Amino acid sequence: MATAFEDVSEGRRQREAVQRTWTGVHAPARHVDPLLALTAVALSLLGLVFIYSATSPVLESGGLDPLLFVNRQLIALGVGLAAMAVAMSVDYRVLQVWAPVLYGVAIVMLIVLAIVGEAVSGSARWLVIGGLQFQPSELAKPALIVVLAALFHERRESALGLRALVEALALAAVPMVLVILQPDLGTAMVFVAITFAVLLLARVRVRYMAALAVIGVVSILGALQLDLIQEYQLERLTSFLNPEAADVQDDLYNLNQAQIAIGSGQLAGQGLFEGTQTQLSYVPENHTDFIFTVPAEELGFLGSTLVLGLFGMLLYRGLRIAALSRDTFGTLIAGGVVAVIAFQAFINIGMSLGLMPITGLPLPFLSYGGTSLISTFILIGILQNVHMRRFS
Amino acid sequence: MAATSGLAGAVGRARSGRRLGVFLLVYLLLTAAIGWRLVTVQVVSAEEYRAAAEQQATREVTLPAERGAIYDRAGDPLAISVPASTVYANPRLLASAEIDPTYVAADLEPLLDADLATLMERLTRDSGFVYLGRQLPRAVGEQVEAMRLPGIGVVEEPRRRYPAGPLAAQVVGFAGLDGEGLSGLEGGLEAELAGEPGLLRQERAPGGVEISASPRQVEPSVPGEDVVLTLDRPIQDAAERLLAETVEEHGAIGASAVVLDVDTGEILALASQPGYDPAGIGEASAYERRNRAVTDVFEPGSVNKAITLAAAIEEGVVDPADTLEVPPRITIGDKAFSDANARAGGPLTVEEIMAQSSNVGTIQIAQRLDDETLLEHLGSFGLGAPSGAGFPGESGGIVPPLERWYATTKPTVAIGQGVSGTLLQTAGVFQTIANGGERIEPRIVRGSVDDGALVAAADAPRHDVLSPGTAEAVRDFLVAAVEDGTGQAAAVPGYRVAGKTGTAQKASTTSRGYEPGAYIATFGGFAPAEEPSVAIAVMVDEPQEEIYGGVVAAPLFAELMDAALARRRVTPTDAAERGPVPASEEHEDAGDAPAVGEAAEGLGEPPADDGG
Repeated sequence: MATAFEDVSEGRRQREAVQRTWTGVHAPARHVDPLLALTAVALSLLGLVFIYSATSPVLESGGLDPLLFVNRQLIALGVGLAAMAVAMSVDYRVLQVWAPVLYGVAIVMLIVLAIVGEAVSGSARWLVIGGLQFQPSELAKPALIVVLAALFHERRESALGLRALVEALALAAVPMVLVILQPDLGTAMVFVAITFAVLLLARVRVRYMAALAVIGVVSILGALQLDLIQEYQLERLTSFLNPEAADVQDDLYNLNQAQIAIGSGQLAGQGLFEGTQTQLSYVPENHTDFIFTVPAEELGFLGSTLVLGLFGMLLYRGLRIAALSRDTFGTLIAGGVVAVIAFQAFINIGMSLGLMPITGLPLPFLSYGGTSLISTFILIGILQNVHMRRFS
Repeated sequence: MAATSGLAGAVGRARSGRRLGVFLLVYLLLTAAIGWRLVTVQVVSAEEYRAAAEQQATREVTLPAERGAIYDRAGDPLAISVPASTVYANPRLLASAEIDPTYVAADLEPLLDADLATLMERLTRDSGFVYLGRQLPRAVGEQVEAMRLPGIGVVEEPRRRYPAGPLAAQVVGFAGLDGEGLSGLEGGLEAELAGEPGLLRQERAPGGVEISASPRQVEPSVPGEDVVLTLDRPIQDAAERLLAETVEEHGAIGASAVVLDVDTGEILALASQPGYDPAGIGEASAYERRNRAVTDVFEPGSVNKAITLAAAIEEGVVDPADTLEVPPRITIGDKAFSDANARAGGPLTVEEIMAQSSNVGTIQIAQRLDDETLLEHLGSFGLGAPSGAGFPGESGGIVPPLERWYATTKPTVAIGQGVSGTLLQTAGVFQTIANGGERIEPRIVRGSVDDGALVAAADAPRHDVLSPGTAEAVRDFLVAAVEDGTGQAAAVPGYRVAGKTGTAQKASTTSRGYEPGAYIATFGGFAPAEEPSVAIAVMVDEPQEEIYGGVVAAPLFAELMDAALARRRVTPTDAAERGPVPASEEHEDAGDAPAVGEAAEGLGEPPADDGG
């Protein structure tokens, strides 16, 4: 008996060991994407350096702490990392249930902003709660991704149906209209990118999507006709098409200075903290919208390539996560996240280079701005979440 | 972990594989576009952009060079730059800082000695820079700086001063407020005096704000050269005084004098009266401002007979000892020539022709020369071309070219009509004869000061014009002209003087021909005849009543020659006739040059002792 007992206990011990190993091997925390995490942190740290380079001379000459902006961004980075941890901790599949709530909160905040928000330089984007100010539209991005992904996951059998498409468009339209009212055309375009990405990955029929594109263009023209889009927005969007026309315009001045900064970086750059365009603040908003000009001028073509390479790595890991996801929901979420980051990165860098319209979209990770950084890390957390649980 | 091997495989296995492929494709296309644009901007056109960045981010400030001084030959200053302060304002800065210009103007008014309305007008201009006061005493600048008014600045801007006042004013000329030479040698020697401005490069932020902490790149300015002139102040001083006296005595509109060192061609004095005081330049007329001895031309008249005779002797067409049968008048072509003092015909020696300034005799001799030869001799004496001394606005005179010589040209030119030259050229003719036939181009610059020592200018070019024999023969005729002929008033007690009178009508400024009643009386010569030291030419412009060179110009010449010989301590030919030589005041002045810095050192030369 003793033997039998021993056999039983031996078998149990072996079974438990195997179970331990199995759960150990498949514990979600062990399956995070280290490259994705490293890339995100590397970009954020570079952002701190660039923000320092862009802001310290002005702060110093004003008798302020040259690290003022860097410190603020550093706090946002800490909050962002914490938010990422939270976004990773709860199984993303739970979000299928919570998606409507998340979406509802985001919409309510946008509505509140529309009511109480005061316009700062022509557009109201910030909401102040208990002394903290943040942009509801930043939080609306993950909310829209999740709600659309949940919708198409639920309807995955009838994904190709027109009904799901109409529902998706209705869900996307609400926040889009609310941000256009701010007016924040850039974020509205991010919503378009999210919607398009989710529709694409949800395998909505090509002909529907083509029809959608046509309707989109027509409605934009209609909006122009009905003066729903302000004149200045149109000018901003089109000024890049005709850069030589009017140097007097502020946007073109910005654009021109950005070109000079990027070009004068040449191959190896003028040296960190030594670019005259950056240090002497010739490029306006070079810690926010035009932050790409800082590495481009001070680190040159090599620096620009490094930044582009890091974004490339990030988006490659994101697409890989979308591909490896064990369910459609994960694929759609990951795809949406990649779309947000890629769209903003290309629009922002393209803007600095004079390829894309000036929209005021921040460069993820690099641009100064707490809400954007936190929201981007939440998106990275969601990506990790999908990846971590690809086996469970 | 097979699933993680390669994105392509993973994408292929995914349910949305193809759609992810589209995603990837869009991403790659966008990356390619960005990459292409980056290469265009950062590699292909990078130089342009960098140049643009540098251009807008650097401010270049010109650092003015210290302008060189002008000294006389003893090292006493004729023109110097003294430190001064210029006060300026940035009205835009005042406006943007919302500073009431009324207070600023009220604060500055007593210091700048400017009226309130003017200051207010300047302070309220829509400009980034206005002058409030230029080249003020340094103490004023320091006081303004001490007030530390925002938007008000003080810069060093040296002020040009002329310590000698009206002395040699037309020769020295003047420089403008910005320190650029405008006339006289200030203009003519601009290249030497100006120096090279330096450059201060500094980074600037948008809007032109200087970044005080940014690195500065300084190319220091190179100060201009200090120039030492050949002018001998006591002789210059005597010339100006004597000219002024003559102008007054004869009611002339002006008079000029040139004193040359026979051995070196150096211009010891170059004077025209009336002149001007640089302090009151604004009130001076153009006539007063002109350095007329080099800018204005006139017909030399009988003075030119010296050239005609010299050419004839040099060419061997007449012997100095010859005697000619000279009629009362001579007709060549359609023109009849006679002598100024009517005389019956009869024999005249060549010497007598010169001494009595006979037109007819001179023309008879000139007729033995062909046109070309006479023209060549005129040219070899320096007529028809500027002297090369470097005066701005210097005239070369007018000598008709050979193709415009008609039958009457040669006789006309032979007696100094139909040609014109400056007084400096006239003086050069006598310097040539005095120097044994060797012409030395006159020069005004003796050298420059380097490290307190005089660096002599290159020797002036020399030209052999006459053989020593010819020069000696002409010299003897010129001595006769002074001792027995028309130039007796040019005699200087104790010295043998050689010289020639001249009286010419002034060319009309309004029509062809001459100005009725307007004459120019001249005298040119040198002394002592046996070993010449100085050559002098004087002219009196439009003397009233008395018009002849022998009456108006010769006494002036004599007094100036007397002063020059005394200054140069030339041993008299006949000491008894002069009496004891007084200790020369001028000499002591020269040795006791006031401190003008290092320039004085080594410049106080003892006057040449030319007497044997």
